[in-house]
Order: sequence, then structure tokens, then C-alpha cells
Amino acid sequence: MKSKLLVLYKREFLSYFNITAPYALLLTFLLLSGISAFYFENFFTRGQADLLEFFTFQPWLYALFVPAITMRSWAEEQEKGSIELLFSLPVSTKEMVIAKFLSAWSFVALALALTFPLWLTVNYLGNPDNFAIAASYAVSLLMAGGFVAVGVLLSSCCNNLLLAFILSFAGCLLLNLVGINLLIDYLPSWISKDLLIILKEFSVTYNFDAINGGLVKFSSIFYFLSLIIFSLAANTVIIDRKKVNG
Amino acid sequence: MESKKLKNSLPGLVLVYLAVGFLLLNLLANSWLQRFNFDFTENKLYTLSANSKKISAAVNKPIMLKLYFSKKIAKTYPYLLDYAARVEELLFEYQKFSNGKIRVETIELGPFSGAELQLVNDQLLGIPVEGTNEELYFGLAAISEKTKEYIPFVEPNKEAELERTLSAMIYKVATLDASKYAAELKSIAKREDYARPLTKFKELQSYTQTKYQVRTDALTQKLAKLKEDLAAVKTERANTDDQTAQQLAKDEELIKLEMIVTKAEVKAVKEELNREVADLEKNIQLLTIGIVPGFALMLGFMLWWQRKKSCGEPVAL
Repeated sequence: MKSKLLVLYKREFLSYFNITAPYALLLTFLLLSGISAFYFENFFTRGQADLLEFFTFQPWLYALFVPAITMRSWAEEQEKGSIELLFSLPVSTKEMVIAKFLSAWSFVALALALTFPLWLTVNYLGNPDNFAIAASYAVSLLMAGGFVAVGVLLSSCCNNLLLAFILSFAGCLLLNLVGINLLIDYLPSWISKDLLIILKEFSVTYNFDAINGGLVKFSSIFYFLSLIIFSLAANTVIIDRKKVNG
Repeated sequence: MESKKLKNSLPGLVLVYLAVGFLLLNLLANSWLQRFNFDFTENKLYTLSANSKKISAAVNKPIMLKLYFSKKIAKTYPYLLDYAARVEELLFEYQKFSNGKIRVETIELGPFSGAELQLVNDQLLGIPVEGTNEELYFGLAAISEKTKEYIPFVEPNKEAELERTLSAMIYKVATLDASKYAAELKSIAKREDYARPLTKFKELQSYTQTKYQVRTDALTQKLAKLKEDLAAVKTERANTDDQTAQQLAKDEELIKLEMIVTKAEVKAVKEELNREVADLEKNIQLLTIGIVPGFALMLGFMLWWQRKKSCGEPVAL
């Protein structure tokens, strides 16, 4: 079982490097990361050796970047019909789902890892709290996992690449938006404030903002992990249904 | 037909169960584990020192810690928002170690929260915000049944002493036994490591500045000397006959011209300095942002090349 998963994973992961689009996406992600770290709020006028701006912007960057990576995972297979081939193979749905998820997550992890020059620069310019930055990177990876799981799930609902991208983008954006006050201010007033606060706790931005200073809430980690697990479970259910119904 | 319908509805039901399970589990986690945190900072900024823990554990009557903060008005001051978040976390730390005796409440003082504002107006210090007629409040109150203690405004530049101040407040309001906890209160250390300035960048900046300082100094010296010359020529002209005076007047014009040139030079040097300082920022930014995609491109090229060499075809199952 392990080796089957490994073969599937390898195939999925390497497929990202066969076409040009992921490279362009990777470049865009890295450029925007750098720009967010320095320009959004002037890094030098703030004068603090940390990556606060970079991490604050990251949920929004992922909302754009991750759907573009995950849109292919199931939608393309369904568009081309190669999913029938996949179904005929002696692998369980669970293995397929996990392989698709892990490969996309690895690609996003690679992109995240390539932002290391930012970390080097703040270390050169000042004396940052590297423990806090390391923790932020770790939770950022987990957050990316949450987005990837949602993206793969929504991709399985579509049989068209563009539709998959738009749907996943909307889903990821929604996960971000419920956490910001801007949206909450515009919601009608008959929705009770308590409900809005509860709603906020289900957003990625809320759960990720708190860790920026190096303080990681257990509930945030739980949120991201459960987001991954439940999305993958739902994904398995949907693919199983497709397998049965054809 | 029947069986197909069943097959279709069953996964839908499972999906609903999954969604509900996700929501419920997270609600539980949020309400029970709200204050269950891991502090990953190098110097444990969000963790109370042992002495403060002892003090908060010794509290034996209910105490209310109230943080008054105008969050909406403070939005234009990001550092203040960060600081308020840190203060709040610290307050919750006290709550965590007090066996339920200390309670924390955050109150947002907006422009229209009249009643609360009236109540605390005598104790809290509102800082007028530039450009608006609003006042920014960022105060703290420790309230027990008998006594109240206030910090009118939590000053961001006193963050190093914050924990000591808070512990002292709680200690006072809870009327703890002075002989027992005085030593603990005294030995709560100052913390200087909240701010992490860009030291190396400032060094680079000041290095550039000193480099230009030498040039400006030379120019100002020259200017002073020219002024002296001018004065000397003027006095000389007053004491001589007409013909030499004409000659001296020409000299005077020349000196004046040179002074204008030197002044322009000083200005140019200053502009150059400003430009170089700005360039310093720009170069650091461009270098960092440029290295990132550069690495990505290199990695991509290597992978592409290796794949082309090894098979040239996508990996088949």
C-alpha cells in the first residue's frame, strides 16, 4: 500500500515540472512574496527586523496561488477522461486522494521554501527572532495544506479546468474574507454579533494572524489540521461516488 | 431507479455529516482551548516569569482586569495594534495562572461608547488623534471589590517594564501579604527585547552619512574661509585709494561668485546623500526580491534538464 501511494505521489509531483505553467506560477508567487515583504508597508520606515508583512499577506497570496496549482488535480483528469484509467488501477480512492493532496502540498512547500532569501535579508539587516519566524513558517506550511486540501476538494467537483480554478479561488477567498472586519461591517445588522465572531473563528486569516508574533494557538493548529482532514474525507466521498456512478 | 437514488443521496448525507463534524469540533476546540498557546519566541515574550506566576497564583479574591482600547481609531497606528495584542495576551497569561480568580475583559472604546467612556473618563487618558476630533484610549484597570487601580495610558515605550507594572497592580489590588511577595515583585526582570531594530541597516545608513559628512565639512570650511576673505577685502577697500579699490571690487565679485558655487555644491552633496540612502533601501529590496525568483529559475532549469536527459516523456504509471 505504501509503495502504491509513493508511486502515485511521485507521478503527480513530477507532473508539475513537465509543463511551464507551474514555473510561471512559482515565479509570480515568489515575486509577490518579496513585494509584500518590502513594499506593502514600508519595511524600512517600520524599522523592525521581522517578516510581519510577508506573513500577513500570505493567506491572500495562497488564495490566488494554491487554486492555480490544485485546479489540475482532478478537473483535468475528468476533462480528459483519464480518470477512468485511474479508476481501473488497483489503487483505493483514499490513496489517490492522498497522493493528489500531498503532491500539490509539496509543490506549495517548495514555493514557500524558496522564499528563504527574505529570511536571510532580515538576518543580515538586524537581529530578528528566528524562533518566531521558524514557527511562522511552520504554521504557514500547515495553512498552505488547508488551502491545498480545499482546492483539491473543489477541483474534484468540476470537470473543467477554468471552472475548477474559479471555484477554488472563490472558496479560498471566502475562507480568508470571513476573518476580516471589513466584510463583517458590511453584513446586515440582524445577524447577531456573536454569530459573526464564531464565523470569524472559521477563517484562515483569523487563525493565521495570531501567530505572527511567534505565539501559536493550539486551536489554530487544530483548525488547519481538521480543515485538511475533513476536506480529504469529503474528497474521498465525492470521488467514490464518481467511481460508482461513472 | 430506486437504488441509484439511494446511491446518490448517501454521499450527500456523508458530506453534510463531515461539514457538521468539522464545525462542531472546531467550535469545541475554540471554546475549550482558546488560551492554550505555544510560545515560540526566543525570549518567551508571551510567558510570565516565575515571579509573576507566583503572584497571580497567590491572588485569593476575584479581580477584574479591564483593557480599554480604541481599536478602530488605532488602525492607523499598526505598532499600537501589535502592542495592544501583546498586552492582551499577557493579561490572559495572568488569568491562566490565577486559578480562576483573575478575569480579563477587553473593552473597545469607540467614539460612541458613551456610558463606558463617561465612567472611565476621569481615570483614563485620551490621546487626541491628529486630523480628527477623536481621542485614542489605551488604558488598563485592575478592579477588586474594594479597590481600583488604573494605568491611564499604557505607554508603548515602557513595554520593558510592563510585566512588572501589571504584577504590581495585581499585587496591590489583591492586597497580598507584603512581607511574603515583596521580594518576588522586586525581582521581576525588565525585558528589553521586544523591539528588534534593523541595526545593520542603520549602521549602513550612518556609514553613508559619515562618508558625505567629510565632504560637507570641507565645503563649509571653504565657505567660512571665503567669508573671511570677503570681509578682509571689504575692509581693505575702505582704506585705499580709488584705483586699487576698483581692483578690489573685482576681487570681491569673484569671491562672491565662488561662494555661490560652493553653496550650490553643498546642496548637491546633500541631494546625493539622500539619493544614496534611498538607493541603499532600493538595492536591498531588489537584491532580495531578485534572488528569490533567480533560485526558482535555476531549480526549474535543473529539473527540466534532468528530466529531459533521463526520459523526455512524462512519468507513466
